[in-house]
Amino acid sequence: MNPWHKRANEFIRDADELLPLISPQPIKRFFQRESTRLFDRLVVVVGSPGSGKTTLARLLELRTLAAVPDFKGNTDVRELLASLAKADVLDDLEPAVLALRLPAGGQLRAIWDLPYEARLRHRLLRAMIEAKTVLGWLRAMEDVGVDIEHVRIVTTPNAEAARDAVNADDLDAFRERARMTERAIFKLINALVAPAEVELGEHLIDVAYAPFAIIESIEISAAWRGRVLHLRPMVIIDDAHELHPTQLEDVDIWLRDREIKIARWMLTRIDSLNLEDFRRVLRDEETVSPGTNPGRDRVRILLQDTDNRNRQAFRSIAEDVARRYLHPLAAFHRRGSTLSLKTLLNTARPPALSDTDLHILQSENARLVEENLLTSEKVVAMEAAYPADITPDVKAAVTHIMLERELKRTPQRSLFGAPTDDSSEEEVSKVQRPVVIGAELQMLHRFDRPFYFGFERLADAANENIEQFVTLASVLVDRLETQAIRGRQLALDARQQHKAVREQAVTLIGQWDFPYAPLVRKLVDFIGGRCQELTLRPNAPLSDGANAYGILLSDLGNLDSNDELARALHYALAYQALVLVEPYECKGKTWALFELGGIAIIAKGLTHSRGGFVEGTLHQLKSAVGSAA
Amino acid sequence: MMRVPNLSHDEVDEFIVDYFPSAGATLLIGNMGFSPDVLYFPERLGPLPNVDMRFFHERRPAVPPVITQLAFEREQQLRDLAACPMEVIDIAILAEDGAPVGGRNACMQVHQWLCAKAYTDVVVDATGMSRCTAFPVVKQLYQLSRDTPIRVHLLVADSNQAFSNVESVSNDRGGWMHGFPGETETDEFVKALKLWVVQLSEKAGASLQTMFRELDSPEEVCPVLPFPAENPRRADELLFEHREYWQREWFESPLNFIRAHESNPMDVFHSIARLHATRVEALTGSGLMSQTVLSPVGRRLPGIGMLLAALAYGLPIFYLETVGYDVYGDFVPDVHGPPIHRWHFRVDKLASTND
Repeated sequence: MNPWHKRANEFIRDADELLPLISPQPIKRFFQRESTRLFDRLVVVVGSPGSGKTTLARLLELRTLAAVPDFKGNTDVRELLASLAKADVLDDLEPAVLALRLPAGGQLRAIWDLPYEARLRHRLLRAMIEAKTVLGWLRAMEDVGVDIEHVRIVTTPNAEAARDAVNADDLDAFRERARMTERAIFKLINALVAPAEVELGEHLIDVAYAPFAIIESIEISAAWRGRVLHLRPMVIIDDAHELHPTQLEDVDIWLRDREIKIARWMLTRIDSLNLEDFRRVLRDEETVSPGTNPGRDRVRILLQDTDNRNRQAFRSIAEDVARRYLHPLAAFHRRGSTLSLKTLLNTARPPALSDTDLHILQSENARLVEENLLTSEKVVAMEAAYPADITPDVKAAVTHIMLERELKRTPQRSLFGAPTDDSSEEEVSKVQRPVVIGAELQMLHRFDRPFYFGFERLADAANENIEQFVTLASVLVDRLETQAIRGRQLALDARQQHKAVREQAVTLIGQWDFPYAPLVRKLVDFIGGRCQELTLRPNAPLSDGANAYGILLSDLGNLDSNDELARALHYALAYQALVLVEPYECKGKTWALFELGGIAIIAKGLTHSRGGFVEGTLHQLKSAVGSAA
Repeated sequence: MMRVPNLSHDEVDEFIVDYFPSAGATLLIGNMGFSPDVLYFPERLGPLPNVDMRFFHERRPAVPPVITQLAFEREQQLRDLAACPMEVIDIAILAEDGAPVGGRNACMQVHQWLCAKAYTDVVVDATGMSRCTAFPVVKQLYQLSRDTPIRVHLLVADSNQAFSNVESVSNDRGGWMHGFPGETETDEFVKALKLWVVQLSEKAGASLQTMFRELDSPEEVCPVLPFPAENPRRADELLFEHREYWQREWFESPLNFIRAHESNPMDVFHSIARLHATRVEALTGSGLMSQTVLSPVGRRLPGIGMLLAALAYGLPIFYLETVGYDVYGDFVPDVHGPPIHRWHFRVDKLASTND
């Protein structure tokens, strides 16, 4: 089993295989953030594919939690279990939650297409969700060895009539009642021509089913694990964006009702939100903090790269994930348990330009020195201020940029003249990382000098999405695995890493298969092209260059959600082909930046740092993708 | 063993000439497709005074204007040869939020046409019709024929790739075809072992992967390879193209390759029937339930074989909806004569040989 190729933890069926692969940091952060509010009200988790939503759901499933005692002494899993215990998901290593992950797939959506009044359709959807959830709970318990005879459904007080209606006293009858509802609605959905509403009559009796309103907890007798367990019942509606927007609205209203005692989450991609909503959620996110708005009946959590991303935190998560994912690979077992992808990738020596290319650069520099009427001593003095660890070729490239900049300056603002005003002092000390990156990128495009190597750049390209990291890194792991199998030394030099990762990025973009993918590719090509132009300007005006297309926030407001561009952007954002950063303040104006996703950045040869953007308009974007203005 | 009366190639033309002129009121249901084959059967049936031609015009959001234009040209050509007034009705394939609704809409429309007038024969010309509309309609009529004396004819004409530079764009999520749901959606059958019979097709990799994942890793996978085929290496080429899937991604599911004739739906039908029967027999008495799930992908004719198997054995169909078309380069149809492959099936006579 190679987790690098499985791509999504969904495929890993066995809880014993799953637990060691889960990196604890993101889980810890998630539960810490909202702690008290995750199980008593509606929680909506929004994130792109691979952002970890489904892993979270899988983690909470009974089959995973029931396997926890097997991991009692396991150091790899300890931190994860501690987070779960703290969040009251585990009670002394036993499950405290009975969660059912319910995919909101085609069948639930199809209820919306039935030829009935909206209210009836909402009733059918709610009844179906409740029936499927109840049946799922029973199956989940049986799958881990619980005998249904030992289960008791605890309902709210004063709910006797409702309790009878769902047969809560007799678990077999309880299941049969739920099945009846499920079957009845299944038949309706799948009839080739649905019966008219007037013909439904008796059918509707089967469909009157509402256990959520009365169920408080599920009790399992000591026969299963040696002591009585009280589980909080929970439903996790996964892929909620697959419901029709009106259905989603109704489910949202329904599950916000604080009278419902079971825990309820909805996992959704941005697709469920139109651009307007998504942007509202982005802003919402900033106001959610402990202690504010305690009366809220819904919590929205964004698991996605936003403007308050933390690169360092994700790098350590990536490192942890890499370690866990390397562990199951047999080929590496003989290399020792201290194998670290980070170390392997970072030990590559920095690449160097060929002598010929270096010579070209140096001659150009010499010419620029003359044009600027400078002396080589002054240039050497300037170079002394560069960061200490850069290699000769990078140094030459940075100098090239500085000299080109100098050409554009008036004498008063010269870098080399007497330091008459403060601004030129600032300029000299500003020869920092961004300019070095810019120089390296220019050499990438000009001389094909490798740029994308080393662990940090790989992690930064992932847009804080574990799956994206794994997909990119998998090509490197494959190569290392081959070396291991052949008994060779494990090593990938800068060029090998760069080439593999770049090819993978291009392949992945070519494989984009979501709706409007061709249009999104055009967008990416357009934005990438403009960013390249800016990055490659000899004076590197933005230092490390651009990786985003910025339009005024007010301009974005003009986008009609029915516009083809809006739909394309929708999917581009959902699949992280682009990342929306807004509001972004710059030069006294407020912008919305469409930043290229990490994979596109690699394909186009641009910087990962946020902030450099090409100025443009909505109209230009529309023309670029060929949609009508 | 289930059988369905069928005719192929020139026999089909002969049958049409012999049978329909003296048949009762006949409803011909077709689709305004962009392939030239779409005209073949209407040309022969349209001029008959007892035939009412009714067409779907499948509507999708992301269709290049050049294709829509071609469909309109077909409409004009068809109106010119119709003896009786013709109807063309728009059928939305996707709802505003992108959910597939084509099958439901098509069945609703057919229901209305059948209510408007009594017919003795209904002909479904699946030549230019998408699977998502053709299959549910055929099933609808098949079900009707069990209760009424109506005769149901399924016609298909195909000449293998009329437009080589047009590619269909698939949805990013799959679903059960309308009228062919998986029982595994319900609690009683959720544990049933899934046997997935999937047609391998060029450039279908991502779609195959999506379906495999959404079917929750079927217990057994049976890719259908086209053999015999016009290009004898086609099956090998498909295997090579999709090697990542069957060698790596799906390798934990046992694989069972089926080879069935590229353009003979009956061969596909029989292969699936044998497979299904063997499976059912093997598992009888074991307490295990099994469900054979079909996924037609790519060329039309093998898909028809799957449809017949689905009708005969009540099998579910899982698929990805086509949400649009991409046209690469100039839109020039390959020059060709009449369609090589023509098939006719008497769907209402689909029955077990023991009857």
